[in-house]
Amino acid sequence: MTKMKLLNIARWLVVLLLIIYMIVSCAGNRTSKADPAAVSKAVLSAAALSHTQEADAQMVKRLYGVDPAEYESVVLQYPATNMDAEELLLVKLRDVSQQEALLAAANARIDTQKTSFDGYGPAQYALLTEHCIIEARGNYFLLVVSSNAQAAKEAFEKAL
Amino acid sequence: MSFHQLLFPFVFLPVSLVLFGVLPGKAKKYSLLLCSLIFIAWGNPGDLVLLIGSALFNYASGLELWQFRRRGANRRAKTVLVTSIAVNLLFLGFFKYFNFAVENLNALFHVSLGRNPMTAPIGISFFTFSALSFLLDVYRGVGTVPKNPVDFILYITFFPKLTSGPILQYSAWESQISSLSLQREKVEGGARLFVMGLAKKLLLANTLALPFQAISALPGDALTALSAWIGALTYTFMLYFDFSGYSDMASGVSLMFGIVTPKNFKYPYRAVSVTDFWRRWHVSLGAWFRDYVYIPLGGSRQGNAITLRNTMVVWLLTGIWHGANWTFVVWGLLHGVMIVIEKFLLKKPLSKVPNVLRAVLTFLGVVVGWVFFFSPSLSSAVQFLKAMCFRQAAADATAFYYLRGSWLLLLVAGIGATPLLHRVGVALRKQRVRWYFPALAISFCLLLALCIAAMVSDTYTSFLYAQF
Repeated sequence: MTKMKLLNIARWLVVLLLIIYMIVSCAGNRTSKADPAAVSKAVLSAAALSHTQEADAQMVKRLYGVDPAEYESVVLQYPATNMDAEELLLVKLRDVSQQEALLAAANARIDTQKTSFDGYGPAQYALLTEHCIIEARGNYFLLVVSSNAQAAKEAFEKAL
Repeated sequence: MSFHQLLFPFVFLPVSLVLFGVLPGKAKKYSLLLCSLIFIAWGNPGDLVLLIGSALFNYASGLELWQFRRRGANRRAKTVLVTSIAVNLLFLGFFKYFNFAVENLNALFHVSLGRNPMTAPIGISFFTFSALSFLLDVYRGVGTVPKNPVDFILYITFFPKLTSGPILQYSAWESQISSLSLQREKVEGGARLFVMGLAKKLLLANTLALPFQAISALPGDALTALSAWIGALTYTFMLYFDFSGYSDMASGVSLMFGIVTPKNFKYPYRAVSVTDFWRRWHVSLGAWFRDYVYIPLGGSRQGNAITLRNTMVVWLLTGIWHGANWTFVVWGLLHGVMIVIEKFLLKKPLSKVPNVLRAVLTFLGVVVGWVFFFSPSLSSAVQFLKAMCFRQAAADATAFYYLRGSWLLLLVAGIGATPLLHRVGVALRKQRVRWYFPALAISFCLLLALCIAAMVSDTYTSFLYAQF
C-alpha cells in the first residue's frame, strides 16, 4: 500500500472515530421534552427549601449575570437573607450550547457565595461545599444548595 | 476558563509564561501545546477529543493535498480540498446550525425531529476557519505543511486565540512558529494590551451591560423612543468594548509568547462608510472572507453584477457565521445592502457629503444593525426599531431614569471608542514630557487594581463573541 493511500485511510479513520464519539456523546446527553413546571414542582418539593425567596428576572441577572429571556424557562430560589445560603436554580435551555455559559455562571456564583461565607459562616460554608450539586442534563440545568441536594438531584433526574 | 476570571491572570498565565520561559528551544512549543490542551479541557474535557480529532484530520488532509500538488496531480488535490472543506463545514454545521435547521423544519412541516444535544466545542467557528485557512493556503501554495504535526495542532488549539480569535491566517502563523522566544519587550507590550483589554471588558462593557439588560428586559410595548435609543446605544458600545477588550487580551497574551496577531479593531465607530466600518471592526474575520471567499469568487473585477453577487454572498455568510438565527441573517444582509447602496447607488452623492455627516450616518446604520444582532427574534427586533422610530411613546419616567443613570457612561464610552486618548498619549510622548512614563505606569497600575476589584466582586459574565 502506498504512503498516499495510508494517509487517505488515516484521515477518514479520524472522521469515523469522531462520528462514533459524537454518536456516543449524543446518546449520553439527550434532550428532554418534560414540562418545566412539572420538573420545577418535583425538584422544589424534594429540595424542601425553607430560607429562600423566588427571584425575578432582574435578580437572576444580578446574581448569575445571565438573561432569563435567553432561556426557555428559569426558576431561581435565592437566599431570603444575607445569612442564608440555600439556593436553587432550575433552567430549561433553548439550546444545549447554552450549557457551558450557564455552568461557568453557576460555578462563579458558588465561588462568590463561598468567599462571602468563608471564615464567618461555617454552617453556610459547609452547605456550599458539601451540599451543592450542579447538574447539566441535555437541555435542563440544575444548581441546588440544600441539605436535601441529593434528593433534589434524584427528583430532577426522574422528572426529565 | 476565561481571561477575566482571577484564575487566568494570576495562575494560568504566569505558570504558562514561566514554563515557556524556562524550557529550551523546541520544547517551548510543547509547553504551549500542553497549556492550550489544559485550557480547553478546563471547560469541557470532551472538547479535547473533538479539537484534536479535527486537527489530525486537517493535518492529514493538508499532507495529502501538498503531496498531490507537488506531483502535479491537481485534480486529485482539488478532490482532497473539496472533501476536507465539506467535512469541516459539516462538523461546524452539526454543532452550530443543526438545531436551527431542525427548529425550522419542525415548524414548517409540523414534525418533531430530534435536536443535537451536544455542546459545541470551544471556539468552533474560529478553529474551523483556521483549519480552512490552512487547507486553502496549502492548496494555493501560499503555505506549507509542517513536518511536525504538533506545529499544526498548536495552530488550531493555541489558547489565546482559540475562543474568539483574532483569526490568524495560517501563512501568518507559519512564519512565526519556528522562532519562539520569551522577549522582555514583547511580554511588557503584551501585558499592557492585556490590562487595557481587561479594563475595557470589566470596567466599561460590564457596566454598560447593566442599563442594556434592564431595558432589554422591558416588555416590547413598554419601550419608548428614548429608552430604546439608550438600549441600542449602550449595546453598541458594550459590544465594542466587550469584543475589542477580548481581542486586546488575546493579542496581548499571544504577544507575550512571541506571536503577533492582526489588530482586530481600529476605532470602528469613527468609520465614514459601512465599507470603512468593516475595515475597522473584527478585521481578521473581514480579511478571512475577503481572502477565501470574495476574491476567489471574482471580487470586484468582473463587472457590477458579479461584484453585487459576491458582496451579498459574503454578507450572507458573515451573518450566518455569527449565529444560527434569522436575526443574524438579516443583520448580515442589511450590511450587504448598505454596502451595495453606498458603492453603487449613492457613490457620487455620498462623496460630496462631509466626513462628519458620513460618520454619523454610518454610525446610525450600524446601530440599527445591532438591534437585529441583539434581539432574540425578528419580531422583537422590529418592535424595538418601531420604538426607536417614535412609533410608540417618546419618553416616560422609566426612560428618564435610565437616561440619568447612563448618560455619563455613554459619554465616557463614546470618548473611549475614539482615538482621542491614544492621540493625547502620542503627542505627550513626542514632546518628551517628563512625567509621561511615570503617569502611564501609575495609570496602568490603577486600571489593574480596579480590574482586580471588579474580578473579585463581579458575578460571571461571558464574552459576547464567545457564543459565535
